[in-house]
Amino acid sequence: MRSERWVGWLLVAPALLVLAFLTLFPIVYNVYLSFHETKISYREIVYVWKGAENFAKMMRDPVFAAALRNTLYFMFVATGLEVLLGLGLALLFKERFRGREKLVPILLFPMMLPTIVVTAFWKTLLHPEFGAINNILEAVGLPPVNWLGDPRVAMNSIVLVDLWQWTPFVFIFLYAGAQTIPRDLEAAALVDGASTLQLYRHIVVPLLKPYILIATLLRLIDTFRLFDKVYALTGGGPGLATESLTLSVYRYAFNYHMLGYAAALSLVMLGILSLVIVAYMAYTRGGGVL
Amino acid sequence: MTRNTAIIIGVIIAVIIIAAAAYMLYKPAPSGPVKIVVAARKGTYSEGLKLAAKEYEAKTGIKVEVVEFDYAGLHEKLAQEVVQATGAYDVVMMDDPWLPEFASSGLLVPLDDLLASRGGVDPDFIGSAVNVCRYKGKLYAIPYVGNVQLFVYNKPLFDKYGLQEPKTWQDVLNAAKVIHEKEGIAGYIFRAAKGNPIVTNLLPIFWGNGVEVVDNNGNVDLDTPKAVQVFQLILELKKYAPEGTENFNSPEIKAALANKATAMSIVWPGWVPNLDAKTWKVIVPPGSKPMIGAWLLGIPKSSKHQKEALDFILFVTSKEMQKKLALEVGVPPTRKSVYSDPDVVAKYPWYPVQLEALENSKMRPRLPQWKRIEDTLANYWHQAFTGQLDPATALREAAQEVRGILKGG
Repeated sequence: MRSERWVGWLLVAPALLVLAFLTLFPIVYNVYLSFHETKISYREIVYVWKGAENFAKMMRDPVFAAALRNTLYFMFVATGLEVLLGLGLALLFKERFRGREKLVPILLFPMMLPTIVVTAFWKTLLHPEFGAINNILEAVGLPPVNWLGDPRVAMNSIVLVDLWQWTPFVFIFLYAGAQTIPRDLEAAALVDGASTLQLYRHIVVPLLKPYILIATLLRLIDTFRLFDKVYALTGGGPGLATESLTLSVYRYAFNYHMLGYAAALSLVMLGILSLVIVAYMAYTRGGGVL
Repeated sequence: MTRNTAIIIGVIIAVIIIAAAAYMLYKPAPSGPVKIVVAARKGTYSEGLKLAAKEYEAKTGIKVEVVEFDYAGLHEKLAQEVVQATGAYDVVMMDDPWLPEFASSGLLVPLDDLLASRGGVDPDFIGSAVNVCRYKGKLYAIPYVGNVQLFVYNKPLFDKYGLQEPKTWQDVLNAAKVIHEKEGIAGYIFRAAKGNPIVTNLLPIFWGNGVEVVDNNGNVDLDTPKAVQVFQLILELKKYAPEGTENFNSPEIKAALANKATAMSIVWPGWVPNLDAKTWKVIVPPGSKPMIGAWLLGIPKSSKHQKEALDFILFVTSKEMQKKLALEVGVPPTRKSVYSDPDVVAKYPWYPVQLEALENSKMRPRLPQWKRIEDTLANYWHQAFTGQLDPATALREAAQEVRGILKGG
């Protein structure tokens, strides 16, 4: 028995080493960096101890404040809408109707495109003068919208692009989940006189809950990393209206060589994401779902 | 130990032994003939380099590979090369405001000594284009693209309404207003996407009205009543610009000029060959010395083929090659003699204007922190440009932040 345990450790050792090297080391180095300022010259980084100065600076940094606000807004609004829309589609497609099999792959199409293609395509659609969307609005007598240039609208335009690209993911995830609900359970409920609304409220959606939670978690994590859409569509503008945390980290680290400040920013990001995951774990454990 | 665990352990040990043996037996590919790798900004300029690479290879047998990046991607690659020194590139292309950053961080090889044995810098190069290759007196690059801001206006429309060629930005504003009201098209167009575009597009308007913004000594005159007035002029001019101008980059400007959807714009020389010569009159931007935006070729210290790299750079920037690249690809030259070459002038009749602009051009501040200052200016100017901050507040906060950056914050 004891030798078996020894073999077990031996077998997982390579994986643990890789994990330590890939995960633990960067985190420790990141924490170290976040308390320093880096002076970069050819082939050399000099670390100067700064204490909590980087974190204090963050509190005064208007770009950080805007980036944090925008990222959280995007994270919750985009995820919320994607889950709602995805759920609606999944419930719709759960029913059999003609052409369903053909429609599913078409619906998945946006998700399969690289983001850079998606943004190029949407940039054309959202063009204030020549874009198809404004042309349609004008054709039906509505005023055109400055989708990416109006500070009140720009972030929502990016949410819209994300909805288009990632609602299909939530849909297929929940659609797969819906397939696992036994048909006779629904039939039994209907025989017992449940209305369609009651059927969904008390049978279908509760059974889908674990799937909804995982889809929500995955989308929260992904939307939190908002980068490429902003980079390609607005560059963080107008002004600071679509600035995101990842974009700030990228600029400080790779354009201004301020590795210490960038590390401090990413540590804050790690903290926020950990909160989301801890909340999820507490919920699943406490509520007994899964 | 069961038979199965014995097998698994056996397999693991075998894999480790094979991997170790493979690692020890691995030899890097034999160093064959020398190959030069060039990191370049994607577009006309990299096309020029590719053409030159082909000719160079035919002449010397040395292979040249051109790796292309977008504007931000190229800066990022160079910034990483400072620390990592991978030696991946032998020649690097740089926008001229980046030179202080990469010269002061030690990435670039100083060229004065290397060139001394070759007779120094050819005096045929335009002085201002060589100046942007220097930092604290030392030469770190050779000018490849003679870029300088120009200005175009729709001549037939100006004639139609009896408007004079604009000499100041107030003239630009007046003409924009007239044409917008009479023709219903945009009077002026800003390339005002956040980042480098808005700064490069608004800076000449500040300069043209006597506001320096940031000078080479780190003085900031952005929070003055005069600067606020300039920004008010910019906002006034924006009323006659097309919807969405705050998010426009070069493709949108080129499209608007091709469709004659605007009456005036700042342009870069690379765009001019595609413009309808009957409509667009090319002039030096109103009000101030035009901004130089040359692209330079330098050699990173990490390159293992510095001698060949320099040889290639001198080949690309030679008189013959510059003429060929100008005629075939449209790369703006950096040599005086090419600007007065009859074949070149026959094809590009505005080249004398461009040479005049280059010779009188003005550099953006020569500061290693320029990239960060530029982004900071962009943050605030874009907020004022899109009505999120009033100009006075935006300029005051921008000035404070830029001063902080210059103090090392």
